[in-house]
Amino acid sequence: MYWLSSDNSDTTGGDCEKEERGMYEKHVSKGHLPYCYLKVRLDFEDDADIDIIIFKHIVIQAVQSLFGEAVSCTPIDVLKYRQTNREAILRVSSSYFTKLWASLTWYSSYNEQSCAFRVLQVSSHLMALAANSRQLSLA
Amino acid sequence: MDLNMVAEEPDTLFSRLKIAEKLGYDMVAINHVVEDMALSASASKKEKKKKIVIPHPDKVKVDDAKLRTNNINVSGRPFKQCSRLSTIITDPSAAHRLHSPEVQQYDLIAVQPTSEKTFLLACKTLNVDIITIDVTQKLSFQIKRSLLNLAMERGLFFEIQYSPAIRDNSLRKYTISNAHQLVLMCKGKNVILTSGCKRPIELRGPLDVANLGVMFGLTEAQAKAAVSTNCRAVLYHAEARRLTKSTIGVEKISLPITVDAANVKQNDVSEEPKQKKAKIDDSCLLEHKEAVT
Repeated sequence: MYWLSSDNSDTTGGDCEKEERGMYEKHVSKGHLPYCYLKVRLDFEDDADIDIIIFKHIVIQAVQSLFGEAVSCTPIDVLKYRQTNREAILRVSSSYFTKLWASLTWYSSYNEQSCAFRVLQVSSHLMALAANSRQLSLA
Repeated sequence: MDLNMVAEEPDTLFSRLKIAEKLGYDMVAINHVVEDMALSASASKKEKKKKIVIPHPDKVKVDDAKLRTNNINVSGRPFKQCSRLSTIITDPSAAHRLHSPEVQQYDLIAVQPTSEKTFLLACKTLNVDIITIDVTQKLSFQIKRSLLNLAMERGLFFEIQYSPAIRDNSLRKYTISNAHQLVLMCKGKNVILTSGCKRPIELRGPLDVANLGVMFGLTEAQAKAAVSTNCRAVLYHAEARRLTKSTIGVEKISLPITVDAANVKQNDVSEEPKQKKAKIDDSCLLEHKEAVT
């Protein structure tokens, strides 16, 4: 038997155990991974200066305005934030992933400046956000 | 695909197209809105003139867009546009206007019923492709499953617009509840999600929209279909609508690209209803032969 125990703990602990014993494969799925990661960019119609604290505030505000207190208290982490183009990597538990995404989509204005969240990449593996296969170009 | 890009405010239209292309849309319908058919029919000639705005001026935009460097998508497919006319029908007697040739020359036709009567008419008899459900206010009529089934059998699609809700937060409530109701009634089939945006910032990416569909109660597969396959089905339905009056559709194929063009033509046509297909194929072949000789 060939056992492939899919290591579902997190992406960073990535040693897959492989033992070759025969011609069959067994995949074990343990359901969802605990977290989902989103790479988002906040676009403004006019330029605006947003630092990480305000950015986090905006995200929480977006969730709160659509789903209220109950959902906005779930941990939403900004793992990385680049202020020059307002790009960020968000982490949320995968059961709230759809809700977070939806509230980002509905979000439309901050301080009466219209803005929009552009979701660039979505993955349950943080590593997958390192490269974007859609932006690769053949030289 | 996004099948509703309002044609008003032409200066922002180009930037909207550009954004749409960037976000990953490969097809956009530019929507010309006629407020009321009855008005344009009876009263002033001015209104009538307004109605007969031909889609081709909009299409001129394509070349312009092509010239811009970012035209070619990652997937390599070119960005396409089509024309769409939408109207609100309040009076059943004025609905026959929709069958006039200047309306039918649009790629897509959408109607927005306002009462039970017109909704029945739209589902049952009108020669259109899309039925727009105005989700931004309380529905003035009840959506009945029997009518929806009727419309589905005819291959009509129901449209939910999301941009109004993005523009104004207070409209969100009705949008969500009405969309829920519609999705519940038609079991998630024959729904398309469109933008109806007036500014580039109101546009959202196709996957974002699909995710919204999940919030409206669609399953993930249905939500994805609502921005992709269903839109394509609308286009095929529209093509079938335009061909029903004739038995043979003949199109000119430019001579220089003889073999390829003929082949492509056949591929395009093969999605249409079967009885027409054979004939159209024949005509293509005929032209193909001419081209070769």
